Amino acid sequence: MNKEKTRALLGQLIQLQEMFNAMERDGFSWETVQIIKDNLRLVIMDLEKSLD
Amino acid sequence: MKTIEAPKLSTPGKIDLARLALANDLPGLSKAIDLIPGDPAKVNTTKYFATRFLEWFLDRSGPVPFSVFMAQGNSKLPFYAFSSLPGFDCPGAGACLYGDNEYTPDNFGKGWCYSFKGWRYPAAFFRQLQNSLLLRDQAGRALIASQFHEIPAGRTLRLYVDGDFASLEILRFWMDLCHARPDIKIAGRDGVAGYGYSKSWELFIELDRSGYTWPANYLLNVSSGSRYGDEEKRGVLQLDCTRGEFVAVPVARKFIKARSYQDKDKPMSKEYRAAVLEKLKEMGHKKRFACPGACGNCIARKEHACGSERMRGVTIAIGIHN
Repeated sequence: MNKEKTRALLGQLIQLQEMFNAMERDGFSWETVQIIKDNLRLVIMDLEKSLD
Repeated sequence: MKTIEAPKLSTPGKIDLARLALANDLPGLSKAIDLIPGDPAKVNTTKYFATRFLEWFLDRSGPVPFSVFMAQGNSKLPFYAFSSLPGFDCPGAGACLYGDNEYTPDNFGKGWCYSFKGWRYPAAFFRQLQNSLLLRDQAGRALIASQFHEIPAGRTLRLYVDGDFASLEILRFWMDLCHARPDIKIAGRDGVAGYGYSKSWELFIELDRSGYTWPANYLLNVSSGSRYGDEEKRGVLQLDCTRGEFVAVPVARKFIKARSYQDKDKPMSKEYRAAVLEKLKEMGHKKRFACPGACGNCIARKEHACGSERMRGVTIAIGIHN
């Protein structure tokens, strides 16, 4: 994986971390968990693709 | 200097996008997704989800970009929810989808269906689109079935939250799954177990005619806003799987303003329910029940009227302001 792609993935993970932080502030909800899961699923798929 | 932001993908834009995907128009879909503003690498945006959806749509050989079922609810353990595209998957939709207009493609989405409002969450729209596509072929249904069987024992599945049974094949598919997992409680969009709502009446009648035995964990509430007439309604109300009608009736604005429709402890709840019952009487419903709003305490023994065998043949109503 080149540096540019790694940077993009890092950016995505930081955004997900921010979503967790927001839930910590605003309270737990299964809907937010689902949103984070949706995004995380795609980040993992991107990583898998780059490793193939 | 003032920066002018590119317009977001509107509901009509999403409707067009769904049309292109369902018609398998890959060039059109690629172009439409290309025109969506934004950074495809920025998570939780329309552009991000649309780009990933398109990558899957190209050959549909890879893993699905969105989980088929989604977690919902406020309790420790979540409900599971299944949705597909509203309107596109609602063959029985009438006024709810078209309003008072003619049932033509131009008027699609001009009714009061609130499922379209859920599209403001881009992942919700693309999950529905993905699920609608999966339901339309055997391989897709096999994938849904496999994820359905992964739902932990004893949980509740909201079927459907958005969308409806789009074809006889799809209705049979879901009812077979209900038979296969009697431990799963099937629920309507409000999450109360034991029943669902549908406007796909003709499909229920057709499946019943074929001699189909309905699963015990699905009880149908016949909801208003359908395109069908009295004959189909009589037909669907006679089915073994049907509890009865669930309708919306007009009430005074003061009840909506005071949120009297939300629960028994809300202001003017008693008067609101009396007004709903009066309206039902005017409409000629013999057995009547006014939904107090919150589920779980509407009738004795903590039963839910919509999912109760004792409420078979009773018309349940909520009030809306026209």
